[in-house]
Amino acid sequence: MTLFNKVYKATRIWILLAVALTLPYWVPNNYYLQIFCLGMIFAILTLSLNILSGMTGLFSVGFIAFFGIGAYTSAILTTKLGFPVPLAMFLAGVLSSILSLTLSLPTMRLKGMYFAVATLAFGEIMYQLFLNWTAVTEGTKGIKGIPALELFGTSFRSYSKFYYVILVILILIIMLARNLISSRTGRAMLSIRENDIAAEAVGVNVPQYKMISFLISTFFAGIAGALYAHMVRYVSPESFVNAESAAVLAMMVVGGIGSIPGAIVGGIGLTVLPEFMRFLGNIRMVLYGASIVLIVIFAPRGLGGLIERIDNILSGKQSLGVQKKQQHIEGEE
Amino acid sequence: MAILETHGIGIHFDGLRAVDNVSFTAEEGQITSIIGPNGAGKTTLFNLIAGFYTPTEGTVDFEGKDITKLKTHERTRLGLARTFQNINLFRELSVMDNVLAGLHSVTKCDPISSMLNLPNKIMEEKESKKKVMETLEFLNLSEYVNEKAGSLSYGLQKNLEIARAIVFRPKVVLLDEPASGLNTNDLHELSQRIVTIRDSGITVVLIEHKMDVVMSISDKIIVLNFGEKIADGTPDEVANDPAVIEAYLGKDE
Ligand SMILES: Nc1ncnc2c1ncn2[C@@H]1O[C@H](COP(=O)(O)OP(=O)(O)OP(=O)(O)O)[C@@H](O)[C@H]1O
Ligand SMILES: [Mg+2]
Repeated sequence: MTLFNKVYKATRIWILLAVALTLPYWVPNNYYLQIFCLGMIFAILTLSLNILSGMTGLFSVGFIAFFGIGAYTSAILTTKLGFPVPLAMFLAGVLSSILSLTLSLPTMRLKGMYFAVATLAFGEIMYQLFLNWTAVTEGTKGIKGIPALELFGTSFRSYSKFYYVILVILILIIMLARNLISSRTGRAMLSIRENDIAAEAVGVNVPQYKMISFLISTFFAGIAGALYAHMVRYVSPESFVNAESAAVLAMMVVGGIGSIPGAIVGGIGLTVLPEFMRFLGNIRMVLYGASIVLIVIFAPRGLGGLIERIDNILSGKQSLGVQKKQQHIEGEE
Repeated sequence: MAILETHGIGIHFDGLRAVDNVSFTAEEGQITSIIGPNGAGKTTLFNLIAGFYTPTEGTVDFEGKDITKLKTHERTRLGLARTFQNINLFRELSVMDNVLAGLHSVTKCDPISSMLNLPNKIMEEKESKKKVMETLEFLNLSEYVNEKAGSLSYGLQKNLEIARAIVFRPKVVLLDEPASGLNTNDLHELSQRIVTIRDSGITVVLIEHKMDVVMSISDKIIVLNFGEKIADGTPDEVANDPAVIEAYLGKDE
């Protein structure tokens, strides 16, 4: 290990933190900051999906539904029932988690394709609910005037302030996810993804742990949705169409299934990228699609795998070119 | 004392009687071996005992209690562990995580403490890792602790299966052909290990084709042929049984 490696290893987390903390001062204007905040919210959502799909191997293609449930719950509780924003945001996670049971209980024994179709149907049902339950959701009109978060007498109305709220929650969820991976619960989930027969054999109650995985991942997704509601301060059904679920899946795949850094980079990257390419006009969506395909081809373990590789090289764990065993949480071959 | 018993257990798949009316007992603290030609129904019998298949007839008793209705993971919790003939490891996970997963049924940490890294989790993880390292040492796998299970050689994977099954100190372990794919040197080592496992207080039920292993370490042998039990007894009794000799006639070994 060279001196550089040592310095890098000792400072990388602080450099990253310094960049994250000062980011609002670097970003050229408020519009880009807003996009970046949105990217971080999608990073949280991608991380949530990763707990279900990356860790437990359950591929949900209707995941945006839980984001929507969180957004609507917090919007309704604050605008119609006068709940304080922090409490409403927490309850958004709780309700999203509870509603996940209506999906996880009946689909417990479904596998692969069948499970995916069930999640797709759930996403569509939720969308129809947002659209048609007008007494509560205001239908296509959407819910306006959602209050901004206020804490300790400070309003987090501006993006440059709300950014820090998102950052704190993102960091918290990263830590929780990391702890989960190296725990009894996390290993039970990983074992289901790897081999459900062997999981049963070591004593894992497979349906029960699938349900737990659902509860945890949808709680975080609900929180992400609530963050979205209080940032944009307006929700309408169009934000939660099934196409959005595909976008979140793409974020997870581009980031690298099961990789935490990957979820962050995938979530932020795929939100920011189309905006940065806006000057290209209509061709940008083609380029957007093409870049996803290129990443999947040239970095089969996603950007997360790439980042871990670079990190290993910089910290001297791996020399250039030689693929050494990585302390990697997952990722398929 | 009989710790594991089947009473007239059987299962058929579309008319094929894979296991037919088999009754046997495994005595506590002994090595009971199950032998028989390919397709005799040995693995199927394990699947019935471990709860992967529901029998069409008969019952399984564990420590004197009928467990026929219990699910696999519930049987594991009671102290009934197994390995797989066709290797079912968590391939993308490290050797450490594979064996840690084997401790699932004797650890308690709940999802919330897991995520919050509460003291009870940290304590449990520490103890678990210690148990895993001891087990890996016993199976000569210590140096592979951070390797992915799927990257190990076949023989090492077979050992890892055993490590994952015995790490939680089950009362009974079912070993399905642990010797397959091992060379002669390793065979001796394996026999020694199985004896050590038994002597440590874990009852062993062993399926094995390698006769030198079976004959040298078994306390009792059960012979299956076409799903039926055709003989049981000590290694000597079984080796001289005319029905057994006939079943194996024309076969190597
Ligand atoms: N799930 C199943 N469905 C249909 N047939 C099965 C099933 N499992 C086992 N069999 C059949 O039951 C018979 C017994 O198989 P089993 O695997 O138990 O044999 P075995 O004694 O373990 O053989 P080997 O020594 O080759 O491992 C075989 O004919 C097999 O094809
Ligand atoms: Mg077999």
